Amino acid sequence: MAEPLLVVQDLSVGYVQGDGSVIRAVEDISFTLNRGETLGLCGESGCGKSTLVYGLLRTLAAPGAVLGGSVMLDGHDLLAMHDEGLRKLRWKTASIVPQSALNALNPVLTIRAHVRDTLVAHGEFSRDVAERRGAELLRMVDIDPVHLASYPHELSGGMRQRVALALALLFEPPLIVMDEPTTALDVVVERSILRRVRELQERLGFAMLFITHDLALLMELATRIGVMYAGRMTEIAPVAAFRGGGMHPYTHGLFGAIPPAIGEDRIPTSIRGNAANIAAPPSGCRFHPRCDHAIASCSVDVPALTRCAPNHTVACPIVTGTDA
Amino acid sequence: MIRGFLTNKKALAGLVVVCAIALTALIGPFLVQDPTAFLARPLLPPNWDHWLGTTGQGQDVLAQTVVGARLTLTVAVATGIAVVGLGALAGGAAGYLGGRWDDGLSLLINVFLVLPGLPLMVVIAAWLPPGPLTMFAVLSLTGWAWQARVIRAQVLSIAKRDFVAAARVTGESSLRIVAVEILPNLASLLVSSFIGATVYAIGAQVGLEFLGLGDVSAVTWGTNLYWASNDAALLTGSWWTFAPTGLGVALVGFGLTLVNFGIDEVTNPRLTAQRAVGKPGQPPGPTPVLRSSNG
Amino acid sequence: MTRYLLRRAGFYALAAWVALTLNFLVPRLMPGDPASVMFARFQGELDPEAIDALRETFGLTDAPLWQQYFSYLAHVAQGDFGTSVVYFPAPVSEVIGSGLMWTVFLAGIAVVLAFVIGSTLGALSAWWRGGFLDSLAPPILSFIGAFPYFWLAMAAAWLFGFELGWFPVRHAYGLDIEPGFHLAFFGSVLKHAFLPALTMVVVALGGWLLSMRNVMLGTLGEDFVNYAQARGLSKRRILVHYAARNALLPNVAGFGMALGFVLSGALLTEIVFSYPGQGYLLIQAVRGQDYPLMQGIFLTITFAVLGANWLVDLLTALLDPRTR
Repeated sequence: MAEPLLVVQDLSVGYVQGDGSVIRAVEDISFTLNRGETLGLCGESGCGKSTLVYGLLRTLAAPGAVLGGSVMLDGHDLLAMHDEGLRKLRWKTASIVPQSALNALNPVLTIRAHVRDTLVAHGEFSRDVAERRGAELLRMVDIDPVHLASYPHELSGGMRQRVALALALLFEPPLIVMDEPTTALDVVVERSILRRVRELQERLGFAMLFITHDLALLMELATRIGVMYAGRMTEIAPVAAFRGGGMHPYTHGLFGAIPPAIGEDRIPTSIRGNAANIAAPPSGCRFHPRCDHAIASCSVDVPALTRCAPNHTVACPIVTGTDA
Repeated sequence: MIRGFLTNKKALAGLVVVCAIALTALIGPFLVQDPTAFLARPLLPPNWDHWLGTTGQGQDVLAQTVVGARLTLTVAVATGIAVVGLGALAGGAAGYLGGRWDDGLSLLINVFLVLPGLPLMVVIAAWLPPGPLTMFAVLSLTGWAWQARVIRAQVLSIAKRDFVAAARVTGESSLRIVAVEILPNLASLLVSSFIGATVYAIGAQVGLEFLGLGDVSAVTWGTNLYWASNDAALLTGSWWTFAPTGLGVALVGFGLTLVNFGIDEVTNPRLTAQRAVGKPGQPPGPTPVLRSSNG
Repeated sequence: MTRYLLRRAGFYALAAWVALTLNFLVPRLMPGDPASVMFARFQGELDPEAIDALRETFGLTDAPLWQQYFSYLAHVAQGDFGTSVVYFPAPVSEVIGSGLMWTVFLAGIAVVLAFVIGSTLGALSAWWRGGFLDSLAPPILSFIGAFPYFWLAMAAAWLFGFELGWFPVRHAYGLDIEPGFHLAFFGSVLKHAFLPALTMVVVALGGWLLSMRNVMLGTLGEDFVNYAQARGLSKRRILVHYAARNALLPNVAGFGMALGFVLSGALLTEIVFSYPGQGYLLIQAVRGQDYPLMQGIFLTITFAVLGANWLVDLLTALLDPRTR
């Protein structure tokens, strides 16, 4: 089962400015995602989690650019591939459920046309196949197939996200990227969609990269969780390791900020200060200006991700005791 | 913003062209021959005495072109100011007051936008004594709607912003809100509206005078072309009677348009944000991989 | 969609009423007695009874203003615009009718061609941003666009007609050809229309190119373009059906608005080529102080523009499912 599907090593992604300078929004990220697993990526807005994922799939819009590292997806070296090879690979090996399907769907095309366009792009020209597959997919996400004829604006927010999920399942790819797919929805709709996602994952066995700022949601959904801060991975471990609140001071902060459940006797806390400016990040450990445990060396040395338990790595010398 | 404007290549080039022609219109008339005097044989091609040849009446084309610029540009600038004034009044009121005012004014603006300009101008101008004042009145009356529409949209978006809402809540007077909060944010749009209106005024004015609705005894760019056409410039092949004036119109128009592009690019960065990654002229494609040699 | 089109039709009816009323008010607001100005040219040509009939048509009687107004509206509703001075004794409606087809034919072809070619070039300029087409076409075409329509027409008539003799420079068809349904006539018509149409297209091209380019640059940054890429759609499909198709919508709306402006240029172009359309009639009217004809032309062209605008609205409704 633990067969690696996606191996990312030392990946850096950034944005090229008008004057040619580069903002390194994501630096030196490494992780592995096994088949059928769910890796949750978590962090505050602007921490680079979306940049990381879109960069590794090479669908980051201009002026984004991959700045170094390597990405192996299902045996393909994504960073070495050229336009046409990459195009054929897209959606068959990795698909995306976007944050806002309203913006991601073409407003002048019906859902049917979206299904058909995608099939045609990968060599399936038959209208009958498109019709059949489209209806089948919509049923899988609890939508009446009559909505194949609908335009995006005619559907409700929840239905649009379901349609986006259906489209992502078109070729049943081994990897589906979930880019905050339910952030804009109310909790009831969110729950019902995520339940369906889980059922489908059990049935079809795809792996997920799940981007969200909702740590509590990941605790239920993910196999492993990676926490990012200001473009760097600060901690990555199986969900179980986070039950106790994780090890990195930033992870502690995130857990502290989760609103308490009913009956829970706890006051939510916030992390002091503001999120780091990614264009001019602090030296050393990027979290040190906001960290209660910071010592002098934190502002100088960039902490390395260090193994502190099997499968559990943390980028903080204080908690791993590797401080020299 | 002004520095950004002056380092913008398009704006600078446009400014140079416009200033050169404005200077010619200002000083030129003192340096050339009498544009209305019958100086030589009609329809002489360009020669040493008459650098741009003579008209069908034996007048100096160079003198007519230079002198014609003065009245044409004066009327155009005056119209530009009036049009922006009317546009700001109508558009600003619609955008700021909102509600029924907006409904009514927008309807009026849209009606005037959809009425074809030239025939309307002809119908009005034909009843008035020909001359620069008539020209000014007719052009202002028919040209305000487009600028009003643009200004309304901008005022509407400014009026929605937090600082204006805050000023309204704290009970500042409308006059003060308009003068302090809205006008400064409208400045660049008013400048580009003025430029656009001036370009429109030159074109429409020349067109009306070409039809014979101007004062045909005055020397303007439009009447130059009117006489060139009347004196059968085409049938005699005397291109020099109409070419210089047309070039003048086009250069001013193009120069002003360049200035407007410049303003647009400085105030609207999306238009300039060159795709810094990859080669220019590449359609959108996969995210490029840039591996720097030192890292 | 029907409701949208009905609402637009209501708006055009209002615009038509404004035009009619302006037409009625302008002579009455001017200094002097409109009737004596209007009929000055008729003195000696018409007997007093005929002049009285004309006064009746224009409502220029001694009756109160509102009675004059309704009498005027009643006559216009019957298609009675009075009698032309220049083409005396032909009624204005007949004179206008003789030139209407030529203007619709020439201006119609030129306007549509300019829009189609300009928008295509604009879309391609934005697609290959900074490329060969994008660095050449916009500046050159905006320079050409700065020339007055009729001046370019004069230049073209002089160069291609007078100097090179490639095309005829006067009239709509050869005077030695009998109009009718035969090839020689159509050939002659096309040959005569070529230069005027060419100059109109060339002048208008720059405007369409620039507005399409600017909208398209925004569209290319939309999520749905990126999402289409992520699904592996071909570049061609994305260019045409995702980017250009959506960028076209605001331009089609602008097309209606620009129609009146472009038509004004077309009228002046007709004059240069002595093309027997509305423009040519207009200059005859101005030279002969033929007020009835002038006003008739104003109303006819206004109604034509309003009608064309409504057709553009219909097109918008067909292109954009959100307006339905």
